[in-house]
Amino acid sequence: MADVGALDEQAVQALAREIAAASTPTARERAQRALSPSTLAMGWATRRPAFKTNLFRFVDVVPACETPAETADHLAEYLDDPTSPTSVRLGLRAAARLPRGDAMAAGVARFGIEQMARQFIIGSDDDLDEVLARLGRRWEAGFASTLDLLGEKTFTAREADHYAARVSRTFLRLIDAASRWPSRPVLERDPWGPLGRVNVSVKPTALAPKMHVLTEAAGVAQAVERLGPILDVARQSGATVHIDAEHDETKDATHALLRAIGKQWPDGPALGCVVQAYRQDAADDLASLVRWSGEALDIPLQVRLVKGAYWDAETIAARANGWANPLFEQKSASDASFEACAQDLAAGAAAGAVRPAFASHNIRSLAAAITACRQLGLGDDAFETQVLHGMAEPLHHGLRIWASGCACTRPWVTSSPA
Amino acid sequence: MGDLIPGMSYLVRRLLENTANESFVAQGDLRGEALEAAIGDPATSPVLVARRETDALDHDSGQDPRTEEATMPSHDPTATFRNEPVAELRRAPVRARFASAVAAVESALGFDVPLLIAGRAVSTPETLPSVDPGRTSRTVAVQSLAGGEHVQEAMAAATGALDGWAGRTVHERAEVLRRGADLLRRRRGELAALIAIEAGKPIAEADADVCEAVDFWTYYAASAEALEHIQLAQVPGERNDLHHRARGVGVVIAPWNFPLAIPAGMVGGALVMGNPVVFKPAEQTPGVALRMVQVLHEAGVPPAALSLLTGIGEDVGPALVEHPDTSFVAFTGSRAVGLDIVRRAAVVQPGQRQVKYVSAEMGGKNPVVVDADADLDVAVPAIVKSAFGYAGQKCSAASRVLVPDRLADQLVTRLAGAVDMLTIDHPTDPGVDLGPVIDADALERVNRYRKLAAEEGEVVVRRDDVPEDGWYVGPLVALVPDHRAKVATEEIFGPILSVVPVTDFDAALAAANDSEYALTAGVFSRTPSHIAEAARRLDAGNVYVNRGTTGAMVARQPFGGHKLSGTGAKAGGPDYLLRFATPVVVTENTQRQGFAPDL
Repeated sequence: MADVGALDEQAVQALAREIAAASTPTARERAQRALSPSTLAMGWATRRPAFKTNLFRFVDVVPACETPAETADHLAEYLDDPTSPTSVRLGLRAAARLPRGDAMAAGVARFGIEQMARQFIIGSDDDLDEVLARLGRRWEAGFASTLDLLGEKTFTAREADHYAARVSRTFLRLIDAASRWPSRPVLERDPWGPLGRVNVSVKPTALAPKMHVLTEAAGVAQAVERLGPILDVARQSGATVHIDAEHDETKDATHALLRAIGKQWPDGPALGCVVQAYRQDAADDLASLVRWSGEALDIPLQVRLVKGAYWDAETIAARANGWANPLFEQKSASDASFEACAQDLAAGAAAGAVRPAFASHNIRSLAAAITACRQLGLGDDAFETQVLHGMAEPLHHGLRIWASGCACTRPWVTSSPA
Repeated sequence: MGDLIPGMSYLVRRLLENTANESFVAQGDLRGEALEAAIGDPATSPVLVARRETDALDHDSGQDPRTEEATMPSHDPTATFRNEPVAELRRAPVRARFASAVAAVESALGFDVPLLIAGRAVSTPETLPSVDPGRTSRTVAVQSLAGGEHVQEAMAAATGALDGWAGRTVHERAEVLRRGADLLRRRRGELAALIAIEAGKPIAEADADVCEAVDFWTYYAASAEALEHIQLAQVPGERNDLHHRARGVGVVIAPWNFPLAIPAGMVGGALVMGNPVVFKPAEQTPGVALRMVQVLHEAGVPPAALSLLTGIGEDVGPALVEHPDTSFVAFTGSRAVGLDIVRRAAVVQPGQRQVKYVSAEMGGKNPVVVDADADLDVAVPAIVKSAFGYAGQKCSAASRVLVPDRLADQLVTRLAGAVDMLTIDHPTDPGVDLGPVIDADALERVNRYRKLAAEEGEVVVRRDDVPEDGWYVGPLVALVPDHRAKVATEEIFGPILSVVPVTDFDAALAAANDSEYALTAGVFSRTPSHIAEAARRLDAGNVYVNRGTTGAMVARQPFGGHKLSGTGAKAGGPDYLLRFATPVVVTENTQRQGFAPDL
C-alpha cells in the first residue's frame, strides 16, 4: 500500500467547519426536535443514569407485553420510581386514579416508544409499500440507501430460512421499485464503474446460526447456501450485497464468508463489507481485505469504515472473562484508529482495489476521512459518506449540501420486519 | 406493536448512542468553542487528552476493581482474589496451542496409574482401564485396584503425617497450594486435553475445569489465611483467641464429571487446614486424578499426607468411611452413595474417638422458570447450554423448564430448533457443543429415560445423528404435562430436558420447589417484582436470574445445595474451609496482681 503520509490537520479542521456549517438545523427542525417525545425522554435519560436504566429496560420488555394491563404493570414497575422525573411519576399516579387510566398510560407509553422506534427504523415488512415510497423520496432528494433488515436473534434453521426469505422478498420489491426512480447520475456511478441503486445489508448470524469462530466451516456453508439466490439476483440486477459486521466471535467467520462468496461469484455482484475501527486489529484486517479484493474480485469490494456498535457488549465480555479487550478502551483511540484506517482505505482505493465508504456521525471523523481521500488525489465522487436513518438528521443534509452534487451520500437506512 | 419486537435491540443501541455523554450525536448541534473542541485531532487534542485522563480515572474508581486494591489495603486476603481467565478459544493461536496439547496427550495414552501410598507407587495385579468415552477403542489410563490392605496402609500413613502437616503454619500450607496452582497453570493445555479425552468433556469446559482447580487452590489459600484474623470480643484482663486446628484425617471421594476441579477443591481445602487426605477418585477418571496428586506432591505436600487409592468405589469407599481414624469425609457424587456414606459414618467403630463429619454434595433436578415476559433471545440459548452442555452431566445442569401455557409453544419451537443446531462430536474439537456420556451404564440409563419421556410426554426434538464409536446419545426435549412425572422429577444426568407448561408465574415457582432436590434454579423474567419473588422463594442453593444455571465461579458464585442435594457446603465460598477445621477458643486471664497490660 502507498505511503499515505500525515493528514493535513488544517485542511481537516477547515472541512469539519464547512460540514458543521452546512449541517446547522433550521429553526423548524430545531423546534420539531425539541417537541418530540423521544428528545424529551432521551434528554431525561442523558441526565439521570438510574432513570435511563429503567427506561431502557421498559423499552426492551414492551414488545413482550400482550395486553395494555401488562404494559401498565411494567410501566409502574419500572418508571414509578424515585429516580424517574417528577412529571413521569405524577402522570403515572394521576393515570392510576382515573377509570381505565392504566390502559391510557400504557397506550401513551406504547405510542411514545413507537415514535422513538419510527425515528430510527424506517418501517416494517407490514408496510413495505410505504418503506419503498420513503426510500424513493430519499433517492429523489439525493440520498442513496442501504436497507438493513432487523431481526430477532437466529438460533434455528427455520429462523434463518425465514430471514433469508424476508431479505429476498424485500430485495425483489426494492429492485422493482428502484427501476422506476428518476436518474441521479451522482448516485449511480463512481470512478470504478456503475453503482447499483439497490443496496441491502445482511447479518451473517441471521443467515447462519453456526456463524461463529469455532464453527466457521459449517456457518459459512449455511450462509452461502441461503445467500446464493440473493447473490444471483443481485448479480443480474446490478445491486450491491453488503455483509455486516457483528461481534468479535463472528468477525473471522464473516471474512471467511466474504472470501467464499468471492470465490463462487468472482465477477459480481458488487459486494460490501464492514471494518470496525474500534477494534485493535482493524488496520490489519483492512489491509488483508484490500489485498484480497484487489486480487480476487472483478468489482472492487466496498469497504464501509465504522467505529463499531458493540463496544459495551464486547467490553463486558472481555472484562468478565479476564481477557484483553480486543477494542480500544478509549473513545479518542477509536477516533484516531478511524482516521488511520481511513487513510489506509483511501490508499487502497487510490490503488484501485476497493471502494471506500465512511460511516460516522462525527464531523471530525468524516472530515479526516474525506481529506485522506483528497490528499491521495481521489475525487469527491470516489467515496461515500454514510449516516444512520434518524441519527444526527441535520448532518444528512449537511453532507449533501456540502457535497453539492459531486459526492454521493448514502444514508444507511434500516427497516424493521414483521 | 408486535412488529417492533425485532427492532428493539437496534432501538436500544441507538438510544444508548444518543444518550451517551461521550457520543458526538448526543452533543446536538455544535457551534463556537464546542465545535472547535470537537473537531480537534483525536490523537493530540488537549480536550481529548484531558477527557482520556478523566476516562482513565473513571475506570479506576468505578469500573475496574483491580486497581482499587492497590490503594485500599484489605484485611481479607480473599479480597484480592481473581478468577483464572478461561482460554480465549476464539483466538486462533490459542486454539493451536490446545490442538498441540491434545496431540501430545493422544500420543501418550494408556499410561499406568498406580496407587500412591505415602509416596510409594503400588501396582496391583488386577487393573481397570479408563476409556475415552468419545472413542471407546482408546484406553486412556490403566489404574491399579486398591483393596482393604491398601486402605489400612494409606490411613496409617495419613495418621502418622497429621502432626507434622498440621504443625506447619497456615502460610506454609497456603504457599504449597499456590505453588500447586502455578504448576496447574503451566500444564493447563495438557490437563485440559486429558480431561476432554478421559471424561468426554468439550475442550472449553475441560479448560474451565483446570481454571476452577487453580481458583480453588488460590482462593482457599487466601481463605485459610483469612481465618487467622477472626476477632472475638475482648475485655480488659482477658485475651480471647479463636484457632482453627486441623480436624484430622480426611477421606475425599470424588466424581468423574469435574475430574480435576472437584477433587482439587475438596483435597486442597482439607489439606490447607492441616488435614492429611486419602483420596479416592472416580474409576472413570484415574488419569486426571494421578496428575493432580503428582502436582500437589511436587508443590510440597508431604507424600504421607496425600495418598491416592484408585479402584472400584464399592471395594474402597466403605472401608475408608468406616475406618476408625477417619475424621471426616468430603464426598461429591450420586445421592445413593452420598446417603450410604452418611449412614456408614454414623456408626461408631471400635477405637473411634470422634464424631465423623460428612459433607455430601449430591444431585439435582434443576428447574428453570420462564416468565411470560422473558426475553427468549436470552432464555433459549442459556437453557440449551445449561441443559446440554457436557451432555447434561453437570450437577448444576437445567433439566426441567416451567413455562406459562401461553408461551410454551413458542419456547418449545425455538428450543427444538436450537437443539437441531447443536454439534455432537468428539470433545477435543473446540466447535463441539456436546460429546458422549461417560460410560455404557450412563448410556443405558439415558436411553431408558428417553423411552420414558415419550411415554410421559410428547417428544418435541430428539437427535439421533451421533458418532458411532463412543457412548454418544443425542439431546432430547419433551413437553411433559405433569410436573410430577418421573422424567421431570428424577435425576437423569444426561441430555434430556422436560418442558412443563403451568398456568402462571406463581404456579411455576411452586412446581419448581416441588422437588427433593435444591441445587440450582434459574428464572428468566423482565418484571422486577417477579425477579424479587423468585429470589425469595426459589428453593435452591444457587439461584440464577436471566442467565444459565451452570458455570458457577469460585468466589463469585459459591456453589452447593440443600434438601437431598447436599449438606449445604458452599464450595468456593467464604465458609467452605470451616468444615475441615476444629475451632478452638483459648481464653487467657492476663491479670497478675491486679495488673493487666491492656488496661
